[in-house]
Amino acid sequence: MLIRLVTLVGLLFGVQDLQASEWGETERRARGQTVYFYAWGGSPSINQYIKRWGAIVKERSGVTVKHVKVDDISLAIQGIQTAKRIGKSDQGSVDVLWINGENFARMKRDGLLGESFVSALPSAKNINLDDPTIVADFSVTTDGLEAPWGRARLVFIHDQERMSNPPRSMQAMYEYAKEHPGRLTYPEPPNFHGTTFLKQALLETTQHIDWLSEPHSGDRFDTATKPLWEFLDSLHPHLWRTGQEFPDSAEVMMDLFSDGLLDIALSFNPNDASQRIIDGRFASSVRSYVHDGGTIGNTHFLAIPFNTSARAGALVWINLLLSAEAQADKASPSVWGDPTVIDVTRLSEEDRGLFDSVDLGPATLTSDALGTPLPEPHASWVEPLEVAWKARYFGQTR
Amino acid sequence: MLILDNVSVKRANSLLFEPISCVIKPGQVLTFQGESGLGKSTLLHALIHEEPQVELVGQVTLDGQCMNMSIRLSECAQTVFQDPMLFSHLSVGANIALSMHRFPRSKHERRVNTLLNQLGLDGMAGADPFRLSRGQMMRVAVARALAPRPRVLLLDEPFSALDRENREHVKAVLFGQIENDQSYGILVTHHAEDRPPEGECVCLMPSLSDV
Amino acid sequence: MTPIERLFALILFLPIAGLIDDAYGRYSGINWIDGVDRLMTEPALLESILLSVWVALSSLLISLLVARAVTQKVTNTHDSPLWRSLLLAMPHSALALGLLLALSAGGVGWRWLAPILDLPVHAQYLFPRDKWGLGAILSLGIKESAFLTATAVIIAKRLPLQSYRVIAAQAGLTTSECHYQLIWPQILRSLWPAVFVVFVFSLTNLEVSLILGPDQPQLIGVRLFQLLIDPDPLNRQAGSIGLIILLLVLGLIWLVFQILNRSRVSNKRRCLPGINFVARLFTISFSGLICMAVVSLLIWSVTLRWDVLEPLPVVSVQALTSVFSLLPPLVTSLVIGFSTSVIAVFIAVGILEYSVSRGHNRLHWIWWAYLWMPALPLASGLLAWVYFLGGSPGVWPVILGHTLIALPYVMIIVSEPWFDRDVRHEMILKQSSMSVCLRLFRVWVPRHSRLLFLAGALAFAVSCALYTQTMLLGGGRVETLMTELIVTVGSDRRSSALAGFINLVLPFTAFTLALLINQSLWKHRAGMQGEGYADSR
Repeated sequence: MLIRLVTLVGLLFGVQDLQASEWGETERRARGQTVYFYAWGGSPSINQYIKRWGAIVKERSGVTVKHVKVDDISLAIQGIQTAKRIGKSDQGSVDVLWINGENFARMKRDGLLGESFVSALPSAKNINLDDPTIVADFSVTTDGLEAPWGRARLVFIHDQERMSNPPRSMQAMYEYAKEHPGRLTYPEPPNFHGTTFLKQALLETTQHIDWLSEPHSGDRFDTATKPLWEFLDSLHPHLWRTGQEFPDSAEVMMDLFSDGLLDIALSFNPNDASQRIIDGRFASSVRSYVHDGGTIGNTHFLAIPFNTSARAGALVWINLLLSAEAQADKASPSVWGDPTVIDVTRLSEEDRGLFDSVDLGPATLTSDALGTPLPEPHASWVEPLEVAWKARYFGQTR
Repeated sequence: MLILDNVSVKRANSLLFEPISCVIKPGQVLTFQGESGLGKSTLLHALIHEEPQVELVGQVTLDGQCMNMSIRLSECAQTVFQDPMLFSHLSVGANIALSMHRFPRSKHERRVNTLLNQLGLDGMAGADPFRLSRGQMMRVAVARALAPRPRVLLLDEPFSALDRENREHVKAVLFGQIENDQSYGILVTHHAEDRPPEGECVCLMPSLSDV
Repeated sequence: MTPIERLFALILFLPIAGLIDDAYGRYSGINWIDGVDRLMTEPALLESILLSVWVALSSLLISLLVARAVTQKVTNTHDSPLWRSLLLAMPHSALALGLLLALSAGGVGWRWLAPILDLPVHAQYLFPRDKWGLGAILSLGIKESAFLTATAVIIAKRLPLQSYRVIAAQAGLTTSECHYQLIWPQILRSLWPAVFVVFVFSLTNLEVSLILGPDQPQLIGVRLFQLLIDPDPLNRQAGSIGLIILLLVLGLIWLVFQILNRSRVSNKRRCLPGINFVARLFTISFSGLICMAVVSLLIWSVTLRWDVLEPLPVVSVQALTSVFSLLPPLVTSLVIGFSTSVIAVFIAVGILEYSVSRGHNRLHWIWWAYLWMPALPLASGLLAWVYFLGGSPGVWPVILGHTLIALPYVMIIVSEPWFDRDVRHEMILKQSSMSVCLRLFRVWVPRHSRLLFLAGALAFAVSCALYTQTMLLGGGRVETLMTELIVTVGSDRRSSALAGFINLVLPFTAFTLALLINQSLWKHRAGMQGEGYADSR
């Protein structure tokens, strides 16, 4: 027994040592590498954040990070898919990708992600890898093939001066829309935020919520979504432009909101409103809120394609991004305001202090106010929802 | 000797004028006269330059050698046209020196200044050609033609832009150099008084038949 | 065709070959029939096509009308390659963005007009739902009017305009009648390559459609692009097949154009009543729209937020600090643009001089063919060439791609004056026994320096406006002002407005610089002022 214990402890330390020396080897190989980081480039604050931490990783580990600003990450995924198709397994042009949800599901299914790497990262010890929102991405298991980077939570945004009592459920939104026609809307699916709004509405209206965490099937779809369509049918005539047109994206909605043409905006970043107030793009009376029953939350991730030519550099970069420093910086609304994936209870006193000093900003809800997130439906529900929405409201079959 | 043997110009397979034959002795100027539009200028051009649709027929012999159809007389002839044809981006001196390209650079300045003096344009080597009068520009064109001391001088109504006084002066310089160098001159003109005192005159006649 | 023109034709051929390969499914292993099926199931495809054809034809007709009217004014007065170059260089994406900011929901134009016209300020944007693609028609119409006018003026210069005017005066026609009945029909006959370019551009344009185009359904250029970059290989194949069908249809239309052109010997001169008025209306509104677009871009570059109920926005000059984040892409744009203009002018001069030495005196239509090719297949084809030659996407392929696109524009602008050579000058140079190269550098290039500077500025302007080529040939890693603009459009109004404004201003700066430099080079030469090469008086 004692021998077993000693062996076990020895093994543990050995393993730790082994891990440490492996990591050292990775760091050594990473020095001098260039990592092409494909991430959405539509937000200057995110771009600034990436630029700053790119400079830090260059200083500390000699890795050069080049941020490739993409509009739609499918372009990058296409490149990786082409490479796989013609059998090019090295010299890929994408080293790290910022993705989640359906994109991850597709990449995993097509074998575009290479080996599992998350547990090998030193920073991973601060993350609760058993957290259900990290274990599964849109109900598809991540298997360590993608590293969590930040959290997202659907929040609604309103201006206190224009609307003192915002509607805290879909039903309340409908009542509000009836009284104030043309002042509400949501982004058009299949835009990411639009689909999220649909999912939120589905979660609030459906009678069969347990079916949503399982893969979708034809018969269940109709039954589960029937209340959703009824709700939307009654809602649309009271929306902006009588539901004949929808804004292209949440950012466009924010512009319309800031211009005073809409009364509610939405975002997946709980600190977005605060950030825009600091920026000057929103008036200081703007606040975020969530629905009483909770809103959808998920995690976004970083992945490494199978054909990267700078794997070591990619690992070092991701490791830095998961560090307490980088995560705390990211969470600050004056920087990006993206909530951390770190489990603060696992941090040292000093590191925990970094998070405490993060000023959440005027429009951000505390985590108590945010409440527990509603889990995302299974990834397979997304496309049928989008297709059905399009067919129903725009007569298109896809 | 510059010998023209049954020389004529064909355009689109028909002769523009009856073939001419004549001999030019060194130091002499041959004058072409004839109705306008017959092709006198075309003949001059054809002696230098190949043009589409235009064919030079007959034989041209210079100093015992047959003229090569690809380079024609371009290597040993200089032309003065009715218009000065100066290049606006070059100075007067540079315009003149254009024709002296095959001579070493060191010789250019002296030759240019000599010619400018001869033609009454002293000290104008660095001037902007387009600030000169038309008569002055013509004289620069003449200087350009005379600069390399060419074997053949082709003159296509060069005096029409000059007033009487300048005309006599330029004629003297031109014909003077031809005689001194014992080179050949071919002049095309409408005015009988522009003909040199010695020198033959050939009248171009319209073609009698289509070939 | 000279050997060089054959080479350029070959370069053009590869994109088509690559496209056919993809459509056939050589790499994906998918049967092309499945690809066709997939294409057919694309929703509202017919509506997309019809809408795109409507947009293309409307903008073409409007721009022809405007060109017809403006050409008269320009040929009456002294024309210059400066105006031609400026018109050819109209930056379409920046303009589209400006129009969006001016005319869209909460647009600058609407905010100021609504109180004046006493309309509810919360009302719709000028074109509800934009079912008819009016935003795209306007934007494309402006750019194309400029392009057609520039080309028409170049053609007009070849005609004996003075003689026509004299004949018309003797026949008792007014100057307008002379223009519309005598001169314009002749211009129109030679304008067909440009008209075809315009049609293809409107039909297949991506950037304008992305910024300003209708959403339900989108224009065909955007639909095909989305299919071509889709992760699913079946969708990509459908996209390639769609592009091939599009090219075939364009080829058919080209044939129809040719036939129509040849058989236009009719004495009927029916003129629709009021058409000149309509043309003038469009011309004036286009000029107004351009101004409004520029103003909108400027305002939004510095605006923090602007409530519709307020007459003026909350501005902050601090907002301009985002210009620092635009510095790296600006530098890249400058480097690529400058290299493009130098290389394009160099190559153009070489090709033109070679053509002159072979006795050609007209621009071969193959140069127009580069402009007939839709941007996306051309860019993919060029990328295939890059891989074929052992390279990979990066800055140099982008420069080469931009050069290939800018080259036709340079050729169009430079060829007329270049071919317009007095044979006597040639003779004088032949007699000087200078080599062809020396003649080129000592005489022809300096003589045409103003033209070449303008052509360089035009190439620079064309390079600034390119997006698809930069994205594909740079592998997404080369950031120019244009890529920044497209990436931030819709998500960050301020950033994209600033990028759009700089993008608009940059070409005009290039032109001004070109002219100033040329002016100072020749300040001691009276004959080189103005148009330059005034060799006779």
